[in-house]
Amino acid sequence: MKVAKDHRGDILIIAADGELDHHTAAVLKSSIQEELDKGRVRHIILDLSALSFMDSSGLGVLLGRYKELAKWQGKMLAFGLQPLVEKLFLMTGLNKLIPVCASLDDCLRALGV
Amino acid sequence: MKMEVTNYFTITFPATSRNEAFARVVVAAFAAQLDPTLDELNEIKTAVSEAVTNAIIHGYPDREGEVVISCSLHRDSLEVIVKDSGVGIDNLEQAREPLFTSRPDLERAGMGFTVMEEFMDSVSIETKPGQGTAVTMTKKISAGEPGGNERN
Ligand SMILES: Nc1ncnc2c1ncn2[C@@H]1O[C@H](COP(=O)(O)OP(=O)(O)OP(=O)(O)O)[C@@H](O)[C@H]1O
Ligand SMILES: [Mg+2]
Repeated sequence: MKVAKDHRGDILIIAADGELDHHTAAVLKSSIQEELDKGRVRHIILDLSALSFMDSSGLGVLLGRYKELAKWQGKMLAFGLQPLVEKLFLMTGLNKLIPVCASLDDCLRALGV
Repeated sequence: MKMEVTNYFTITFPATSRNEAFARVVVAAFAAQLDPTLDELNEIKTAVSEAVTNAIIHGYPDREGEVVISCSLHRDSLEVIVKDSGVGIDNLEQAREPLFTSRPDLERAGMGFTVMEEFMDSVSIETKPGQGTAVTMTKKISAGEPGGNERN
């Protein structure tokens, strides 16, 4: 699991590359949490285009960060989901908390940028 | 009717998270003999990952242990058994409910069994407190056995 970070104002853009399971979840968690702890992030956009696998351990990590953002009414959005990951989002209802957009631009627009 | 077994394997490995990716790749490679679609392979990988992760996290919360995977092909379907000799499950009905987790402290979503049930055709669980848990999952592969028996 490789995690790349980018910032647009108070929006953190996280690109996750690889397989997200219980073993790799800690990597994603700590790299997001590290940014949240700096206190300058309001919203998060997840670029999942290079995420080839995810199971319920991934759900747990994303939900955990979603709850952090909710403390200050921050939003979490995602784009680029591969079919398996999208299926998991829809099946578990995660897409109701973390809406799925068609592109990065759509995510940014949804956040009013 | 019990279906004829056409191929099988068993592996035993230590219950560490490092082996989660290994376990799902091995089962997917074995299932490839039935010529599944990419979607079917991904569903099998995910279900195996859920069961193996459960064995590692919940089966052995504070000691080392082993996970055993037994896989068999029955003409056009795959059977996977993921077994641990850990703590077992006290209340199985509750454990299978969507969103139930005994470990919210570990940021678990409580969706593992729900995912297994959604992605496989059948999921049955045998468990005994103090003795362990075995999860048996089956999935019919749409393409069937390549060049094999006629299906009816
Ligand atoms: N192999 C096992 N040994 C002991 N308990 C288990 C085992 N598998 C599951 N359980 C129990 O069943 C509960 C539900 O499992 P399930 O996989 O649905 O959710 P979870 O593992 O808690 O969360 P998630 O899978 O979403 O990360 C677990 O919280 C645990 O209490
Ligand atoms: Mg689980």
